[in-house]
Amino acid sequence: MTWLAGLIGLPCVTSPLVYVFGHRQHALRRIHAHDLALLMLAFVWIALFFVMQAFAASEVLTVEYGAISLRMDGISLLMIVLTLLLTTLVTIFSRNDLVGTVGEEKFYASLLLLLGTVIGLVCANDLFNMWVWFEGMAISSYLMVAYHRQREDALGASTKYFIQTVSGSILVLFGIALVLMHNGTLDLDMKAVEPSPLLIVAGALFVLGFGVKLALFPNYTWLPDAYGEAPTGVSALLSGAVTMTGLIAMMRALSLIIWSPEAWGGLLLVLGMINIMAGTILALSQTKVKRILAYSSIGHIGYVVLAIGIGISAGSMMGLRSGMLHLFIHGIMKSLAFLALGALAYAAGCRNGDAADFSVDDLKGLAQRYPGVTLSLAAACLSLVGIPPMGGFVSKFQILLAGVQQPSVWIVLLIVVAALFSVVALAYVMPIINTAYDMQPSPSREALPDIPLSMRLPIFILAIALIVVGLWPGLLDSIVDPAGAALLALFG
Amino acid sequence: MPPVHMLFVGAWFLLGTGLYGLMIARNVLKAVIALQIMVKAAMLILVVAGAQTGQLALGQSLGITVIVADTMAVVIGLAMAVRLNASVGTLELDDIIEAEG
Amino acid sequence: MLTAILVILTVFCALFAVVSTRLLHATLWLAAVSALVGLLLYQLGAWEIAVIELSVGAGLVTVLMVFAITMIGDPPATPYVSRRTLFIFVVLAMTMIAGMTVNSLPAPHDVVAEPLAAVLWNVRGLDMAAQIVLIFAGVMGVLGLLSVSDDIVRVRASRVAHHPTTTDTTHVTAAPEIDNSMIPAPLDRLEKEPV
Repeated sequence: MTWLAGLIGLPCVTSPLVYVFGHRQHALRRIHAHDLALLMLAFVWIALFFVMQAFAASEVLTVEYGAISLRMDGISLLMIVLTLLLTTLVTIFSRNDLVGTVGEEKFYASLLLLLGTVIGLVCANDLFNMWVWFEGMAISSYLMVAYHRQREDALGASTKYFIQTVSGSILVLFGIALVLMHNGTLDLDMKAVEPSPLLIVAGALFVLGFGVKLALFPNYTWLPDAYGEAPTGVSALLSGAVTMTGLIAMMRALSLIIWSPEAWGGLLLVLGMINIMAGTILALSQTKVKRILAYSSIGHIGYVVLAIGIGISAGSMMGLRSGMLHLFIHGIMKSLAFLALGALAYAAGCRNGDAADFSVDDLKGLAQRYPGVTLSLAAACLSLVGIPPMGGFVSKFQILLAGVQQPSVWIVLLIVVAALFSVVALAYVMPIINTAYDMQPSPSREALPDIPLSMRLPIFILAIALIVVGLWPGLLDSIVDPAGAALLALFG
Repeated sequence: MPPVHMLFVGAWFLLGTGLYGLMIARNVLKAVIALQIMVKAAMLILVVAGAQTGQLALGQSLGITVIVADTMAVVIGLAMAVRLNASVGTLELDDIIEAEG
Repeated sequence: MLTAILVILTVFCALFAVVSTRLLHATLWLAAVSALVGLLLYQLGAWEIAVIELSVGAGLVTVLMVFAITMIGDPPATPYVSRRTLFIFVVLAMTMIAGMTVNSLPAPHDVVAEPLAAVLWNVRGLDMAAQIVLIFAGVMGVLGLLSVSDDIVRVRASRVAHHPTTTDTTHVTAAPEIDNSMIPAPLDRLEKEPV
């Protein structure tokens, strides 16, 4: 399908254009790199529109080149919609956040590359091809994490991220080699049927290796530093969409070698549970808001993995579907939280990555000056905990429901613990809301400048989306149902 | 033991050496060197996998892709090290990670 | 037999690269590992990738590493801290995994001679396409990481002037009255302190 090829190729092809023509020294420069990137994203949206039309007609789209193909199924569709949405909003948001910094054109070009590689990754239908996209995604994200490179902490965080990511992707390569040895092919449709020690080792390597990108226990230590130090828009994009591609890659790789779903599903259940506990408990001791949100991401990754684990071990459509729903809604609420926080920090005078040091106390009394944005932040925080009527409630509730319906006592027990930790999450979220709504009149806050429209627009879009999704969750059926079905087909 | 199996075992031990080096590395460049050793092991095992299944050309093709991807990663790592040295003034991993708190 | 010797030699070179105290020595041991891996690949019949590994792995990467080390200045040798338990654990784990997997390898097939170029460009063409994207991303990353921020003065100023509670944000960019001696100047440290 030509439109699918266009959807994958467009961001990759237009990225050099943004770099060359958006460069501030370029002779032909008439247009800011940011506006150029937005224009290119508009073309990608048009391509996505036609792809979705074709997808609705035929359910599966493929692009073939040589012996390997890119194929779009329900999972790809969900990830593409989420990533494209967040990339666009983050691009709009970053205009004021990053204006005047050196290397803006490289930033926006990398953003487009990141989008392109994510689309390629979720569509790849060949194990090794998926790895190449995965590596490309990692490489285009190093610069974005270290974008405020005059900050020592940003460089340190990026170095940590780099070392862990590269070692993870090498472990994945070993897994790929083992699968090739056993199956004789790398095609993701050719599933192994009989068990073999080779495949057990390969599966463990996939869980470990892709687990670095997914920030799954025990490889989550890079995440708080990277999200804390990255520009706020990048934190939103990485935590909302890019990290979750690690899960998609892991699922596709595991589907090749899964012959006893209970065992692998059980492993995912345990790892997801540890992630929930670690993320929630570690978030409690943080004072910087971005780091709190980063640790909360670790917890929410745990919920998604838990749901998928339930789905795989019991072959339950509801578990898989609720995992996908939580993935999507987490993308919306976490990026909303990051963007709203970034806008408040920007208004309070944080430039050049100083938002990383923005602590809970700095939020004091901002609700009076910026009621709309603070309300959005509060809504996102409440949604993270899972309070109705926000979107986060719907998806968390469905995960718990899917777990409770399982006959196994262990799963029900895990679900109860997960629900308890969901309540514990209140403890790290409430200080943020309380401090922001501390209504003591402070004249210094009254004099703060307005938040620019380019920052308010994406925040309000996401906030409205979050509440609409919470009130009418059925609206997401058209993209979540195919994703759940595709995931079930992977392990069916 | 046929030569292919020897290479297979050798690749695992090379990976182990790289992992050990990564864990004891106290310098960013030493970590990059350890990662390089691991990548060589991965490339070796991919070509071995190709040879084992009778698709040596496929194995080589994968290996070449890995070399390219990995060279890019090394270059990024070196750029990061140069930048760290200029901004932080140290390449010691303990200092860099301690600085984050 | 020759293969076995080469494999053992490779692993030992890798071990030397890991434990050597000077960065330059480690780089040279790494080059040796590359060359030996190239030889092993040649023995396997994978001539094309052996050449690429020799030129890129042993050549280009070594040059880049040496270049980076000279740019940074080889730091004083950090003593190698032996972590014997860790070493033994890694050796045991690798022996276990290698032993477990090598015995369950399926019977080898006869190698079908295919032209590498056709496989590379036609069969695995999508890998190549993704690789081009990856190279561009890498170039962008290096350029971005190494580009000297001309806003560094402004940033230094904002470090001192900035408090999240500051009411006036306009002087963050101007900041003429700041005492420079108070400002942490990371880029200057290189000149003052010999590394």
